[in-house]
Amino acid sequence: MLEAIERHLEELLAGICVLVMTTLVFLQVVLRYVFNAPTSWSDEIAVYAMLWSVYLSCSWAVRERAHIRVMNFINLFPRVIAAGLSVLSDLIWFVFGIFLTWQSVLLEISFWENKYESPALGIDQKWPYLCLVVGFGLMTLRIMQVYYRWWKYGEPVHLPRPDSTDAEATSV
Amino acid sequence: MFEFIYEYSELTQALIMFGAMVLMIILGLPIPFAVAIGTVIGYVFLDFPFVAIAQAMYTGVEPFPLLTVPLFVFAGSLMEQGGMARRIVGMATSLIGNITGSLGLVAVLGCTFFAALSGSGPATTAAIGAVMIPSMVKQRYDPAHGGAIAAAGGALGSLIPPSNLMIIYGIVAEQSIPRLFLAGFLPGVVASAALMLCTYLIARQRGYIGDGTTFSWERVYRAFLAGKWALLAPIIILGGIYSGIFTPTEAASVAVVYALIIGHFAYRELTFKKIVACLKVTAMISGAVLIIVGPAKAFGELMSLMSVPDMIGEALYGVTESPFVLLMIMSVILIITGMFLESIAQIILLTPLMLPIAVGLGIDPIVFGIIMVISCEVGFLTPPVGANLFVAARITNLGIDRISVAVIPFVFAYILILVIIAALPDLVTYLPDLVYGKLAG
Repeated sequence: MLEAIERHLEELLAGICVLVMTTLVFLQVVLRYVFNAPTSWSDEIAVYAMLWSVYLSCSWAVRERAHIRVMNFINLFPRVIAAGLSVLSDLIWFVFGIFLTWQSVLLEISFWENKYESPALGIDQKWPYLCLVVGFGLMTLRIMQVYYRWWKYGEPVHLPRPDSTDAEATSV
Repeated sequence: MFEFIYEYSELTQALIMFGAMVLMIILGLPIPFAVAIGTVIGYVFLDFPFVAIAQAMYTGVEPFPLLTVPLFVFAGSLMEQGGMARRIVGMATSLIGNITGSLGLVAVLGCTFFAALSGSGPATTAAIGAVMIPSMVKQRYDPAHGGAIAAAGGALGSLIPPSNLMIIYGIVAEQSIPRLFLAGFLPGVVASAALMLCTYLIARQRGYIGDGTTFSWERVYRAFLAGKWALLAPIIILGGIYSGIFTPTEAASVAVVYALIIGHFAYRELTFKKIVACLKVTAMISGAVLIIVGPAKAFGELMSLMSVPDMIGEALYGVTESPFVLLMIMSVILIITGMFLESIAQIILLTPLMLPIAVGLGIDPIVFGIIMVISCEVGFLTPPVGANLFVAARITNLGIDRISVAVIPFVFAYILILVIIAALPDLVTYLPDLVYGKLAG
């Protein structure tokens, strides 16, 4: 159970978000041209789905080692130094991840204290903004997990895991 | 304690911000976070609250038109998995399969067709490469050369409409996305012709021959009949946009549904498992690529606050006042930065810095956008961060280094296109001006 959550949590939720946003945008087309009844709520929800998919996948991409990074420069150094520099970069990333999570929490708190509703649908903005806390929080945990698994199972830090979901992201 | 930093001149502050970002990229931090760190340093200088970075990460992904990008990624992925690429190759083969070096030419022509369905360079490389690279290797093409053709042809995916990079540029530069799409059409055709010429010359020199068949209209007819659903896709997507039926975002969602229906019911190649895989690819691209939008936008805004565009502008206007020379200088800068930056990052970071300078010399923002997109395509083809090279390397099982050497002639073809457009901007503006009328001002 825990293993399934570890493996599929972000992937599943982000996939659902992509599905939701596709459906909603298409629904808008159908409503407008087939039923002649345009709506505005679908656009707003579709944007929230995109935000959630982006920040959930940002954490998932740590697990799959899919983040876009330039390793060529540090690999110019001798192996030991290169390894040290790559650990340093992950450490900076980790600390920055904590910082981002913290700032997202502060932003989230401000939405709890001063309620702000979207003009069109009246959705309390603390819910869509929660994607930052969840996304950066999970991302930071995932970075820790990478090193935990290296320490425990000797799994390489910069190569995809053997049970990787094999989704490649290069560019658009 | 650190009050002295507020004494720094704007130039020094901007350089420190920029330097920190570059250092973080060199250290190997994922690029979105390297840019975010540079932004946070900028906040320190300008005495902004740090919570602004969280806010910027959110608002960057908030614009509705941005939805178009993941939707087109999803559609492209479904078309690739759903058998459209193979039919497109079939059509291209029936047209030019008999000419010298036909396989390479077919690959470029196939990429050109697929580019009209897909908005992505790497996806076009993956789709056509997966079909054409194995057949080229079978015909004893050098695999590195085959991979290079697919990578170079695939880059057309970003130039021939629809185009994800143009959507991003349109959002950042506040330009009409349909107008940009039209503007990419003629340069796309010229680039395709240049790539084919390049492929043909290499094929003649190396003695690659045709597929031994003779051209027949019957064969063309049969291939086009088999590919009719793939042919209809750009008519629906682009036709829908230009007739005003869909916004580009809606057209992208229609493309997804169309690809699902054709791939699943007409071609029967799109299994449930494949659909899920496409969904995963789309989600992953959101998380690893689109996440750059927020920090890059914030970084660009800080640079503008520190009046960096004015400083660069003054420096450049001191060198030249000719739009052609200015565009050439900018292209060189864009090609160099494109080696190290992912293309979306490049567009969002550099558009706010460069566009005002270009407009200052009377360059049409649409023309600058096309120059930007083609420079990004060259970036797709140059290591270390060259998305198309990675895709081609994976298909051929070769190292990036071998493909990136083999792709050099094609990179020159793209640079030639850049020069042509800078010298003849009418090539870009002709179609949009014809359809939408000239831009005011």
